[in-house]
Amino acid sequence: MPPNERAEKQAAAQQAVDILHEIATILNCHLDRRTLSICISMIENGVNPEALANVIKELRKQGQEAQLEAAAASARRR
Amino acid sequence: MAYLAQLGALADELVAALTSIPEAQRERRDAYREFVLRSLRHHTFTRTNQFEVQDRLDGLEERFCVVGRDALARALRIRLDALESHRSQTTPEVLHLLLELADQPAQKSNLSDLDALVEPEEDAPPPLTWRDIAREDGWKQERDIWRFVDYSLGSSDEDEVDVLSEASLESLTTTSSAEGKSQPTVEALASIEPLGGEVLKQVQAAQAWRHDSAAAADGRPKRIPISTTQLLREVLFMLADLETNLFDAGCNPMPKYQLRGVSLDSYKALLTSFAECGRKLAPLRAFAKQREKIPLLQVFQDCVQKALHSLDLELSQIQARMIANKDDVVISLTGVLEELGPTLTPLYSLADIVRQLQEERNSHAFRCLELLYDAVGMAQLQGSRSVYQLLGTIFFDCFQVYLKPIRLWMEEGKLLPGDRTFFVSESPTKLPLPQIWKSQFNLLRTPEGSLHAPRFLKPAIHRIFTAGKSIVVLKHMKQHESTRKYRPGAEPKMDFATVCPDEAELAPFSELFSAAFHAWIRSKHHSAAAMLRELLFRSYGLSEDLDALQRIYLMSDGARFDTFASSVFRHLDSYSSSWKDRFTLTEIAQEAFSGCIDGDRLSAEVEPRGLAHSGLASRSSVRLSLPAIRLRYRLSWPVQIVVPDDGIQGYQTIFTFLLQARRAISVLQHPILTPQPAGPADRASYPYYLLRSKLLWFGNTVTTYLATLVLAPNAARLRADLREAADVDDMVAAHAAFVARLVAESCQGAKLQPIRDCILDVFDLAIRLEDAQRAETARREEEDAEISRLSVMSSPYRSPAPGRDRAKRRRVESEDDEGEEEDGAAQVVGEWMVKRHGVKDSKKPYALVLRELHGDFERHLRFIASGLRGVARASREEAAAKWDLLAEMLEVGIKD
Repeated sequence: MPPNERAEKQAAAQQAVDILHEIATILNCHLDRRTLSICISMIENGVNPEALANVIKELRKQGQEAQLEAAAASARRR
Repeated sequence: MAYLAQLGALADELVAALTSIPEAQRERRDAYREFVLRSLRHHTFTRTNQFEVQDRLDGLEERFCVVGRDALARALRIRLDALESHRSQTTPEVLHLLLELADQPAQKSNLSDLDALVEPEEDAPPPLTWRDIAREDGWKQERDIWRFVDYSLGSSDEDEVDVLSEASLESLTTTSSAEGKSQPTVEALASIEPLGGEVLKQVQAAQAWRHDSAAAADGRPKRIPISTTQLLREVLFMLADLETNLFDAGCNPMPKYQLRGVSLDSYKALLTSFAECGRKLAPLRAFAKQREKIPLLQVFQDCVQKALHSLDLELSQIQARMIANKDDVVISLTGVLEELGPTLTPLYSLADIVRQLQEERNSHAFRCLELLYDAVGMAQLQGSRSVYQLLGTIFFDCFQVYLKPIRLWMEEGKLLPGDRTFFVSESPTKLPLPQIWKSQFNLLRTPEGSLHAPRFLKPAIHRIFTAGKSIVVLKHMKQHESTRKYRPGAEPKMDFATVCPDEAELAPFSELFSAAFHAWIRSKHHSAAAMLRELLFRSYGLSEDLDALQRIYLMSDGARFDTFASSVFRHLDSYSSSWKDRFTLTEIAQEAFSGCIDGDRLSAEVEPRGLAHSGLASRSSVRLSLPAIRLRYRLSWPVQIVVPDDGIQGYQTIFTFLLQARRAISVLQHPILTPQPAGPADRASYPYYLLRSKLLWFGNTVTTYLATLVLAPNAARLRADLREAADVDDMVAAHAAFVARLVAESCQGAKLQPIRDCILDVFDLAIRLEDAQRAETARREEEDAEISRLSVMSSPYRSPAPGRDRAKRRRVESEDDEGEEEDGAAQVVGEWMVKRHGVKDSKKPYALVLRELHGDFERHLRFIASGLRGVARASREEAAAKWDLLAEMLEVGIKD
């Protein structure tokens, strides 16, 4: 029956994501589950993994900078 | 475009996840988003090479091992292997991504992070309990579900009637509410909506009188008025053994009600008469409800229930008339009383019987039969026909049950095991065949000694008993099947219509019943008993056996008896003890009697007491040796039923007496006929010959009396009696009477003991005489021998050995044909012994002895004759006539 198949597929996909998350943890990728699933979705949509990896690094860097700025701004205000 | 939109959404999300920019700064977010999209679209990277990915992963794993982080390597390997089963198209690319993002895993990754990945198991959801389900479904509060439901058949009619009578006045039966529908369930019936509140109010008002208070407003007791209809209904219910308000449990009227428009006294009288009826029926109703175990009482209970049922039918017919009336009906209590009268009267007598039955606690089961029998007779005498008929029918119904064991006993000779009502009981041990008739089955008697059977059956019980016993004996003879052929058709019916037909109204019931019952018994009894008699005569040779017994014991064939007797006497006289030997005696007996009877069945024995006496003593008296001789003739067991052992005893007594008489005669019949020298010796032998002839005459008289006046007529009478006997019991009785008569008439009875002793004394006299004579003859011969010896010395031509002459003479005179030489020699020895040891008379002179003997004889004769006369006059027995005759015969010889 379709619902059962769908459920099975969902479970299988879920399992795969779990294993990938574990591998990511072993490889110390600093990826949480949500980000990982977003990445997987993007890759399934045809995004190049290397480009995506660069994007992620860039975003992280920029994010860290933004956080430092915000922390400095709040420290200056006080 | 959908692809781009999706990608844009994903980019948003990515940005949000990675750069936690608050929502307010949209521009920055949008900038980042654009950046993401641009970079994703315009890149110069090549496609993923999955083999390279694989190599890199393997290299990484090796690197972990080299660095020393084997656990990490193993964990990676495990995950990669697990991923194999979930491999998809994009898996290598995802792995490539992960490899790109890897941040010095050999140094920095921690295995403990893996453990943190495993989400803690949620607590298992609490198990589902019934209580929860009950609470959910809402039936937890309902206690009624768990109540026990009684699935027995629906409540009795009375309850239903009560229930419905509240609801509808229209009918008292339950069928009306179910008309036109299929069977309504009890709930449906119970939940029938009343036909509107009006009707309910009416019904309640109508029944209000039941619950009115019996106290008036001022506290004085007042009577509740009721109408005739209500009273009638109450009365009918009471008679039908239902609960009512007007009567209490003992059928006594409650005093708080009063009939409207009638004076208190008449009301009370009326009610009392109804209460009387109810009270009389109460024991019947109670008895009908009990549980009975004995079949007889169960049938009686069934009849009672049927009678009550007919009463109930009448009551309901009256009710139907009152309720569903088409015409005008007069409601009258006295009318109802009149109507019910004929039905109730027989029930009163039945109730009496039941009451009597219950009062006698320890009665036997057939007491109800006896009571019924008496009641039927009484009813007939009183002329109450309905009572007579009802009770008579009930009596015969119960009697049919009682007939069953009787029928089984009379047809098959079997008893129902465990049946206490039947009067025949079997003894638990198996008895030998000849005793079956007498002792195997017994009639039961109560401790007082009367038979365990209904009074009215007592005359017929004996025949029933013998019929059954005959069947049992026939079964043992294996002849039972042929009796079935002789049964003359079906037995007569025993029920009221047949036994007491209308035509015979005037005949008393006891007569009718006994006639019918005797006919019934005759149909069963006749064949078995007749069969048994025929068998006894034909197959088992009863008459032949009796003839043989008579020949052996009663000397009916004198020649053979004589043969036997003389052989025995020869042995006695020769002082040989071979007569005491069983085998010799048997041989003698068989040889003597072999011509006329089956010699193999005859045997002889000597009683141990007879062996105690010495040869000399036993020869000298008839009392000592001869009674010890006993003959035994083997009989087949059916004949032994008729001729039991004590009968044989009687025969034996007569035999002994005959033998003794024979002894006396035979002793005297061997006279020593010596050529008497003429002269004075002749005169000396006159007394001898006189006495001898008198003694001979005495012995012959006694023997003649026995043979002609005692044995022959009695034997003929026995034969006639046996032929007339209806069954085996009669035959046994006839034979026993025969033996008793023989014993009495031959003076062997206890009463005539002195006379018998006297006769025996006379027999002894004969022996004494003979001994004296022999002694005297011997002495004379000795004298002659002396003289001849002396003369021989003078003349040598006289032949010596006078002993041989004597022996020759013995031989000539002896009538025995067998064993001459032995006997001759034995006799010589015998005489020599007599001479040597002498008899008691040898000391006295011969003439004196003769005179003495003569005197004794006369005295004895007188004594016997007068004694016989006296006893004959004094007693009233049958034998007295014979004694008279004997006395007369003997008186001939008395010379004054």
